[in-house]
This record gives sequence, structure tokens and C-alpha cells, in this order.
Amino acid sequence: MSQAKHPAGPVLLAYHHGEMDASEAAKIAVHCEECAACRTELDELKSVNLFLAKGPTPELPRTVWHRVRPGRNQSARTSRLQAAFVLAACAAGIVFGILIGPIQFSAESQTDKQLAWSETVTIWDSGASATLLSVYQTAED
Amino acid sequence: MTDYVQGDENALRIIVERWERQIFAFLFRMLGSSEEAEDLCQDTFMKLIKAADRYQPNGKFQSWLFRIAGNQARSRLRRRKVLRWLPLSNDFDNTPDTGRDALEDLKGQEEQLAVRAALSRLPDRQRQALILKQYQDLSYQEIADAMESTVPSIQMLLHRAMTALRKDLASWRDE
Repeated sequence: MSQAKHPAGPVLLAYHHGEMDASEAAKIAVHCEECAACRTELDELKSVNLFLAKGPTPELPRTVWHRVRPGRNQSARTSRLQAAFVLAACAAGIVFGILIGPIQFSAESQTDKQLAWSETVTIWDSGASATLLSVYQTAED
Repeated sequence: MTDYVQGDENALRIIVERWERQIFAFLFRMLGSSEEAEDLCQDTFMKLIKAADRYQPNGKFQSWLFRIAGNQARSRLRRRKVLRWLPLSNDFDNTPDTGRDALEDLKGQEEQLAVRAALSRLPDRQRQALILKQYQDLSYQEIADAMESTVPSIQMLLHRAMTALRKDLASWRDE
């Protein structure tokens, strides 16, 4: 392999990764001995590999076995989803309570004179609780 | 795997314990999120169990497992729409104090962030191929099997990834 004919980038990378058969690898090794440009190219590939090796080493926090073993397919993840749903519902309740606040409705029937109907609804949301108070009064003529 | 298919449940436990850390590390590097990686690690083994009866004993188990994990990761990335693989995540802020001085720690953290950021900027398939080569040490053929591709395509993906990284990391390499 002459200096004029440099190996293509993917070929040099395959050489760097040791992914070539021995005869091809030998040809490239001979070329690189003579070719400063290809030696520089190889040095750069090595530098990138060294740099990538400085990346973080992630550690699995806990084994996933207890969550995947047969018969336990209703996994902890499902429980987490359920917990997230309950939390979301509570959060929605709180937001609803803050936005609406205590509201009082008072209504009196105007059509039925025999029934004085008074209803008071108080909604006071303190997170998950809501109080509905209705008072019905029946008035006799 | 063959033992598990034949009814030996303890074989499954051995498989999970043998591979879970590698699958988690691969998923973490693909997604950049410890929590998501843990969830998808679990899902990978669940899918493995479901697909156990289709396992081909003559194929390479490692490639098969990384194919399942890779499909999971790419599917999650597609669903994200906006890539959330952020280098500023504090997943690694709790690394133990190794006794090095503060300046070295800071430099180490900066390097880790730079590597994570550079990986995050690669297109998904380039990142997948690079992680399988660089960190999992798979051969080109194994990567091709795991990504349902061919060796020349993998060669090209890796070349493009390395070219992009060389430009991206130039300033760091010079330090």
C-alpha cells in the first residue's frame, strides 16, 4: 500500500478496532509506518477512545430481578404508576381547591311555593377532602 | 437461556444477574437518565421472558439481548420528541469522594459532562453503535446483529460517530 493510497476512514477505524483479518491488518501497519498522515489519524482515534473512557460509569442502583421474576409480573413499576396516579389526583384536587376556593351557592325555589327549598353547598377543598353540605328545609304553608 | 426455556427458573435469575448491569449501563448511556434506564432494564428482561420461546440457541444471546434493549431505548427516544439527554442531569452528583483534591474532582466532573454531552449530540443509531463498541466491546458482527444491520453499515456508522466526536472533543483532547 503506497503513501498515495491512504486507507479510507472506515477501514482505518476497523484496523484501530482490530476488526481486520491478519493480512489486511499487516498491509495497513506497513502503510502507517511510512505515512505520517495516517499515523496522526490513528493517534486521534486513540485519543477519542481515551476521552470516551473518561465518561461516567453508571451503576445499577438495585437489582431488577425481584421485579422481573415470573409470577411477579405485576411489578413494582405498576405500583409506582398507581402511586403517581394517586399523587396526580391529589394535586389536581389541591389546584381545584385553590382556584375555586370556598363557594357558596344558595338557591331558593321560586316555582314551588309549597316547598321552600334552600340549599347551601360549601366546597372547601383541602387537598383530598371536600365537604358538601346541603341543607334542605321544608316549609309548611 | 435454553435451560430457562426448558423450565429451569433459576437459569433466568442467573441471566438477569449476569446481564443487568451491562444492560443498565448501555441504556443509561443511550438515554442519559438513571431512572429511565432502570425502568427499561426491567422492561428488557420482561420482553426477554415473553420472547423466550422464540429464542434461537444457535444465535448469540448477547446480541439478542442488546437488540431488545436497543429497540427499547430507540423507541423511548422517539417518544420523547425533544431529546432530554441532558448533560446537566445530577444523576452522578453523588459519586463518592475518592480523596482527590477539589480541582481534580472538578476537572473529572467536567470531563464526564463533556463526554455525556458529546454522546447526546450523536444521532441515535450512531450513539448506539458507538456505545456497543466502546463500552460493551462488541465486535462489528455482534453490533450488526444487535442492530439488525450489516457490518459495512456499522463500519460507516462508527466512522461518522468518531468523526463527529473528534470535532466535538477537540478542545478537551488538547488538555
